[in-house]
Amino acid sequence: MATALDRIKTLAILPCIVEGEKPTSNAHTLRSCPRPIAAARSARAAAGVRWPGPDRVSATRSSPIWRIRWVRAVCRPLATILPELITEKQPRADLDLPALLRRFSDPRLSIGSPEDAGPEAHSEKSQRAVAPLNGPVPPALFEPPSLPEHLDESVRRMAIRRAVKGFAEEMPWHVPEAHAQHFLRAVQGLAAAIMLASGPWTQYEDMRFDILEEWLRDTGFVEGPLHGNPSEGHEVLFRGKGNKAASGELFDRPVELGEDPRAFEVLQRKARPITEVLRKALYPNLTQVPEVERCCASGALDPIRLDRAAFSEAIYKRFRIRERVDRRGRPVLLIACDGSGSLNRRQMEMLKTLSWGWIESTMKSDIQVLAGLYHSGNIRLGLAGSLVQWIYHPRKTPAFNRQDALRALLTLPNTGTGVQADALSLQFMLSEAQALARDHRIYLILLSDCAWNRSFPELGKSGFEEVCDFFEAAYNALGDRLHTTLVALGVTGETGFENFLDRVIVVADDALTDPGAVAADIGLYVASVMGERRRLLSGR
Amino acid sequence: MRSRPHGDPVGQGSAPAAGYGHFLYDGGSGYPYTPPSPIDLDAALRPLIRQCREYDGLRVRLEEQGGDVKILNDLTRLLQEPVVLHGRHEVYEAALTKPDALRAFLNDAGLHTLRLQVRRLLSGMPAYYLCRVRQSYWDEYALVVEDYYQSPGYPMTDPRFVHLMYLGKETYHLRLSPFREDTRTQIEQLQGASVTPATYPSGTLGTLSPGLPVDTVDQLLFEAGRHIFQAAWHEDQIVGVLAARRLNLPTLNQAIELLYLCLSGDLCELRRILSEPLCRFFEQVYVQPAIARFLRRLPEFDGRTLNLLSEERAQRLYRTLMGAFRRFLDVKVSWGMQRSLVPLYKLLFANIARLDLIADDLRDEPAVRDAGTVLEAAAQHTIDEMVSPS
Repeated sequence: MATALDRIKTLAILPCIVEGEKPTSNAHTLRSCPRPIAAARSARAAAGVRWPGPDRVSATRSSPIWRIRWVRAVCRPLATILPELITEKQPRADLDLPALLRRFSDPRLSIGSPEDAGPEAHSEKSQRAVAPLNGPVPPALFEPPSLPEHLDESVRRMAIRRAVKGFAEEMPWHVPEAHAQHFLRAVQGLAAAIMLASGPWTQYEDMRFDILEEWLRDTGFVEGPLHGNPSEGHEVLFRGKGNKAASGELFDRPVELGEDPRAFEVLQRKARPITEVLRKALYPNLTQVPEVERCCASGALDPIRLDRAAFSEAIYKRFRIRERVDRRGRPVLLIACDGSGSLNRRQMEMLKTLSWGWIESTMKSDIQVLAGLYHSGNIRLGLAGSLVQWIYHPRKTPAFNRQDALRALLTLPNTGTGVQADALSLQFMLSEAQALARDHRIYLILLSDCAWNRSFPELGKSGFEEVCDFFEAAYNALGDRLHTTLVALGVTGETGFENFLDRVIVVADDALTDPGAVAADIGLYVASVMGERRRLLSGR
Repeated sequence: MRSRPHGDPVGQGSAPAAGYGHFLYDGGSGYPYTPPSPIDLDAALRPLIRQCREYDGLRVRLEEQGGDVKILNDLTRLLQEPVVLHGRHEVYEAALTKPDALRAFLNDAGLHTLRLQVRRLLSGMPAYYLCRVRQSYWDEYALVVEDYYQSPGYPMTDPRFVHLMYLGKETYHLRLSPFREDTRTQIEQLQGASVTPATYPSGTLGTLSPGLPVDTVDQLLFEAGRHIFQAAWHEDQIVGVLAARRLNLPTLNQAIELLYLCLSGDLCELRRILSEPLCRFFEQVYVQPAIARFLRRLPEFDGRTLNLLSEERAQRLYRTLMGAFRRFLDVKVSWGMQRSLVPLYKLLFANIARLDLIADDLRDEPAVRDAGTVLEAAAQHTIDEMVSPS
């Protein structure tokens, strides 16, 4: 047991060796031996000494010495199942480093021991520099690279070391330059030949199973070649006026939740007047019921004799489709926020305040809420595109409830960012809302500065026309199940949608910093929609 | 690695036994078909095999004993050194690091029947396998009928199947090449003379390649492969076959192969091509008493019986045998340091790739022995039912 543990402790310096670092920490076995080989000797000498470090090493500590301790802690239980250390005298090349690690470490490290160091010794020893490739292998934390990759890496690492002034003189196992060069050339040549002889022979071939196995073995839990997604985003199909079709790709992700309670209070206080007004807004779910009205003739026509004449039965009855409140269904409130770079700080502030108001006002209602900010941004390294960031989505955001979702508004940028694709993003958000609403009603609130951008250049239309097409297509598809409201932020004059959408609220530029004034406008809006909805609710 | 003590009839100036050379096909050109130039395939492949053998000698030395700078240089030289190879139509200079030239030579010399496969071993070094393949265009698998060279340590999980890269895809091939020498001996015993293409022209054993001399050994292997092994062997059998092999259950293996043959094979076609060498193949070369008994009885079966066998009885017996195997896998084995009871299937599936390490211990377990006896009896019953359907 002692010898096996001794061997494990010897192995524990290997991460430093493999990574080419000089272990200069104050570990027990390395304190007096700053050089790896000497450290290995010291570790052997310390056989039987209890390791002073903790059994569990924090993963956050990343210095070499902590890695060594971690290796030791892991290897100690394994010592019982390892073969005994060979005690008879034999070349260090077979004793110190197991075959695999010696093979994958700096080739010069396997040449002789420090006492053998010196040009005379190495001139002979360097001729036996390669250990058996299939020798016994200790458990390793990380799979080593394949042989050709390793040999390449060794050569590169050695070249770097040579570039460091005085490094060669510091090494006790210093090999004469000529021998090292000779060895390196041999290794490099073999590595290149192996790659040519065993690599995939043609580009069109499938990956061979041995290469696939090796690749999977070396990459651990990294995604394999069978993983992946050809299109990471969502493909959105758009059908413009004249039935011209176009498609685009769009990505979505949730907004991070804010952690600042002070900012939460400030925004809540600012949005309170708007929230209070919006609480009165009603969002009934409507259903369309076909009804048959019986008609009865009157006046000079005798209803008793009429049915003897030849005439259509339609005169007796009339078909109507009547809208009624469906108390079973839950409508969806979709809040689409334009977050593009054209929004200035004040517009963005008002956008957050209004979003807050709408989300908070529906907190105790049965209505389902979807809120998203659409703009563009980085998806990942090397990929950017149109982006929808969900402020609240029952299935896609980490927030527990709508109260929690309000925290997402804290992390929104102070000004708009990126370039938005209006029609593309609205189409995607509406399709998400449709999936949630099923056959129920959708209330779409669009907060925008009305600076529309083109999404589908192939259609040859302006951004405004694309948005018009979007609304038109949405109305055609959903009919009365869609109710739209545009909140134009910082717009003077008309938006162009006044006769097109159900409601348009214009927040003038000077009102952007005054939530009270905006609340008054919102109050008018609420009052205008309340009448129709009350009538529906009362069943008239 | 290749051992052919009696000489290769293919290498005696004959046309190859496989590939498009044995078809009298003019390609639609209207010109009369010109047979490809004869070639001594042994002599043509000898330089390449010598190079591989030298390389593998050094590789194994480096893997097992280590080496020095010289061995690295020698290995590099052997991999890069051009080898002069004589094809049917031209001379090639190829090296192990020049796959295009190698492939061109092999296609020329073997008429697209030779396959050189390279695999990277755990040590990172390449290993080689050179074989000859006979396509079976009507079946799922192509057949490996002859091995020319196999590097030591070349990975081959199941000796019955081998992965070969063909047309950019890795496909399973049935490996019948291990039976080649025994097949040759059997045919010689049967005919009382040395097997050459001149003594056994085509048509003696089968119906392929009229008018051209055909290697009889190839022909018999092809007949056995196409009509029996294509149906009797399948990758899905791996668990049952490995368990039978390692736990000493020979009857189970025989029953599995016989059932698959009856379920997947064309028994009418098999009855039509059945010959004495084919029956003896399963008695002397690939010793499979169940299939041998079945083949001996097969000419007596009429169409109704064959239909009954494949459509009804084999399916029922397959379910029965599967049930018996399932009960066998459910057996609790006293295992480990604490001798806790572990179901056999856990041990089998967890160690499927290294079953030889635990097979001895498992065989000694009384519970496994008893369950194995029951399973063998069920397998024997299956065989009897199949062989004697009346």
